[in-house]
Amino acid sequence: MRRFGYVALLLTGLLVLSAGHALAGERRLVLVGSPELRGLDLNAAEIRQLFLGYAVTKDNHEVTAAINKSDALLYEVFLQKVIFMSSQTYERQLVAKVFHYGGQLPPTFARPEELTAALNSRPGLVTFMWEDYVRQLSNVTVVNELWHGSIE
Amino acid sequence: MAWLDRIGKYLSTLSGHLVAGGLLIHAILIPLLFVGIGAIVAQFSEARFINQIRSDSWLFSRLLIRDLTPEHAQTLLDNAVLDGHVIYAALEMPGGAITAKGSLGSGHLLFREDFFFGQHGDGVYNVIIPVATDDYPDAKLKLSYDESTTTDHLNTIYKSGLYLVGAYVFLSMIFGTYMGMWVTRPLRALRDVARAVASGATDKTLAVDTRISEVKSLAADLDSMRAKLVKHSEEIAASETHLRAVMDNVMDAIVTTDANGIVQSCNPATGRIFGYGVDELAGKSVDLLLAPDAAGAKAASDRVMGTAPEQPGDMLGRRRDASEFPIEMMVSEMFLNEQRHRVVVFRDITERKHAERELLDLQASLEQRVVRRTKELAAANERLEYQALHDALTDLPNRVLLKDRLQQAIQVAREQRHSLALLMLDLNRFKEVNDTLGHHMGDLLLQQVAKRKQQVLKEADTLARLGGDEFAVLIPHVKNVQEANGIARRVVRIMDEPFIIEGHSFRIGTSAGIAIYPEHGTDVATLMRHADVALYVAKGGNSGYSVYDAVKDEHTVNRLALMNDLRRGIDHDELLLHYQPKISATTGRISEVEALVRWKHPRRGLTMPDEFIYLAEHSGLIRPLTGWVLEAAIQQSRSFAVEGIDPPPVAVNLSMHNLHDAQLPEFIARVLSTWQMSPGQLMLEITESAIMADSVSALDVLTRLHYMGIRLAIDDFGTGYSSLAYLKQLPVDEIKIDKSFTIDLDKNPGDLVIVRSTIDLAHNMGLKVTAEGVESRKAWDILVDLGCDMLQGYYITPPIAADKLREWLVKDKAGGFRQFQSPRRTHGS
Repeated sequence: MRRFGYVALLLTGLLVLSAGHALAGERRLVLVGSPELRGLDLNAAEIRQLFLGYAVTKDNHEVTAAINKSDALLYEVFLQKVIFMSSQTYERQLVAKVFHYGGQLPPTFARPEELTAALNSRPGLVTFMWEDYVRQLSNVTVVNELWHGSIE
Repeated sequence: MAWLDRIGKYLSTLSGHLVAGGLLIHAILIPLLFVGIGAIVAQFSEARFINQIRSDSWLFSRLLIRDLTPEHAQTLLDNAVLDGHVIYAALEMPGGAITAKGSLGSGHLLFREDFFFGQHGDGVYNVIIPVATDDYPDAKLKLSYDESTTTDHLNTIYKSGLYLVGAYVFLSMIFGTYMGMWVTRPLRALRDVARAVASGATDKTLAVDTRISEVKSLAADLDSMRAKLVKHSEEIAASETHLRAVMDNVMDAIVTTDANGIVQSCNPATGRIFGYGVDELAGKSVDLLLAPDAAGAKAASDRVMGTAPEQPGDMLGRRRDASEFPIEMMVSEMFLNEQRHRVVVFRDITERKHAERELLDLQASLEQRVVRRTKELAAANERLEYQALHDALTDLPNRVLLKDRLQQAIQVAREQRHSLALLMLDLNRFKEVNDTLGHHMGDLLLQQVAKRKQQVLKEADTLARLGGDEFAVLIPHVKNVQEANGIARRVVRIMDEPFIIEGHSFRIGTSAGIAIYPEHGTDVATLMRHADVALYVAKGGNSGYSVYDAVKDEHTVNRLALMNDLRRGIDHDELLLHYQPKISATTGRISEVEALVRWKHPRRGLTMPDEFIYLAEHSGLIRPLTGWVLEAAIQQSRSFAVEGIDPPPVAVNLSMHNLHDAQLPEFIARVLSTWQMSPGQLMLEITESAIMADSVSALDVLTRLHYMGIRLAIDDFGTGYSSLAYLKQLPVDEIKIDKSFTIDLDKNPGDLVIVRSTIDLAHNMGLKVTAEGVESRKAWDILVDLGCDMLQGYYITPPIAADKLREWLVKDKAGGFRQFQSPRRTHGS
């Protein structure tokens, strides 16, 4: 029993440590928009289409994307997990699309509060954020989870 | 450390500055460029690396997701690893099981996903791609890419860049050094020329052979500056030389001091004047040059110090040997370099002071002489004035003074409203005495007459001698006519008493005419004329005196009418001239002619001068009358000359009143000039009495006429009473013996003696003699024998008209008159 107790204690410790470790490195990258977009389920291709500068209409919502550059890691995770390009190639791609097909570049925000205000003022506008940051906001809702995983 | 010094020197040069500057610029810019380019290249390389990984891993996941069977997965993973780019690949199934993996090495012990190049520093870029399928919803593809290829590539770029930078800096140093030397070469050449100019080669042109326009322009500007500086220096040098020469040669000591009176500089004259060396005074007080005990020393020092008004002043200076001497000091202020200085000028005035003393002595002496001379002159003037106003014989006031006193008395009488009396006196028998006993006795008689008359007069009364035997008495205050009569009576009575002179007893008697102011006249001329009229009346009466009475003045109306007629006659040319020739006793020809005035009166007919000359003399008409005669006589002479008849000199008679006319000489000169007649052709005849009546004035007028070249003659000589001594002083050329001596010459031996003596005397005095009144051949012969020079009289011809004279002159020119050409004989032989 005593041996079992030590093993149990060790396992509990390991579990706590691993849970703490997992909790510490686990991040969620989510697609967010105004509350009207709640429940709008966009697939990976539509999301990629949005962030390559194309508008997507779904469920009577015309959805456009805004680029969040308020956090360098967030932006690189977004590029690596959603766009699969480097930042230079992505931005060249956006410019090339405008040159070829017209339209406008997706708006880019470096300050999160401005981005939040844009989301509230422009229905259909979506962007990407860390989920833990989104929880602090009231008028923004998570539309899709783009990625989750540990970051060390 | 010599090389460090050389580098330091080199860096201090323009070339060194250019090189150092270039190096500094490159040292700053090249690293910046290198880092910048490196960063861009690194960013580009890393971005390309990441982009390739992300696209490759996504494509690889798309290939893998088609068939997630272990075999298929293993094949793909192996191929991926074998491709060489992926160093680890694994497919992780849910729960963490690795179903397939490929690896070039022992694999990774720790797989941590990277999102940035070089993240985690393990040289590997790990990426996880979801490959979820329906069968395997949580499958993940893990790929590891080798970052070293990109890292090595970047390192190679960095190394190459460093080499290039090094080479670049090295070449920059070489080229910079060369360019520095190339750029500074003309500057160095310019520097060398400038040094040469500075060392004296001022004629060297500042020019360089260069293509650099700025340096060329600089050289041209410097050369222009050199030329201007050289010219300016030459001007300054010339000016300084001039100024130095002036300062060295100026006679005054010039000292400059500071505001405290300390000597800063002085000129050579300072040394000469004060005995100091020029450099000896510098730094010493200027007071050293001033006498310490002099009264003005403090004031002088104050002036130098600028505490007193700056005015030139005399004071005592002190030489080095302590001797003192007078100086004049002038202080002026100047500002130099914003500092106050004083310029003190000392002038040695020893000689001037000496000269001033001599001048003062001279002035004092001169003043004494002037005072003395002034006194003498005043005395002489007093004497002359006295002589001018008094009769020389009797010492009584003359006519001039009488008139003046009469004028003053009239004024006083007018103001005080009282009367005055004027008495005209005339001796009744004086001429007899004079003719009988000679002028000497006549003179003595006149002197006694004067003294006796004064006995009955008051001191306030004026007794004057008017000429000849004419006297006048001015009584400035009389109550009435009776008082004047009483005085006249006393005078007449006392003059009736006999005079005893040199044993001779005379009774001559006198007559007096009285005129009272204001009853008989209110001015001098009227009173004198009326007193004269009264005298005329008195001479005809028995009482010896008479008061003027217009009723008794039977001539008054006639005289006034005649006077008016005469005035009109002069203006209307009613006068005419007759001429009486003077014949030369030697040649028997006409020597001179005497012009004699006649008046062709409209009613009276031809009137002789004795009827109107007196009137003219007493009415102021004598002046225009004489003027008319002079002009007519001269005009006639000119007319004869124009006709070709050589006219002899013409003689014109002057009244004594003419001798009081100071304008007469100018008038005669003007008339002579008008008719172009020589002054020597004119002779003026004046009676002795006219001259003696106012001898001073007469002498003045006659002298002026004489100097004009006009000849003068004394008319009626022998009838007057002038002294020979006085006559000797007169500038006369001729005397005319009065006809009273010649008429009975053959009968009266006394006249013969007088005439002979007169002729001898005149000849001894160098005078010509003319005898008047030659009325017989006998008289002619006697006078010729006596040596008379010219003869005039009725024997020759009475006065004749101008036409008749013309005939005479023509005949005279033709050979003269035989009857007058008798040989000279000795009287009595």
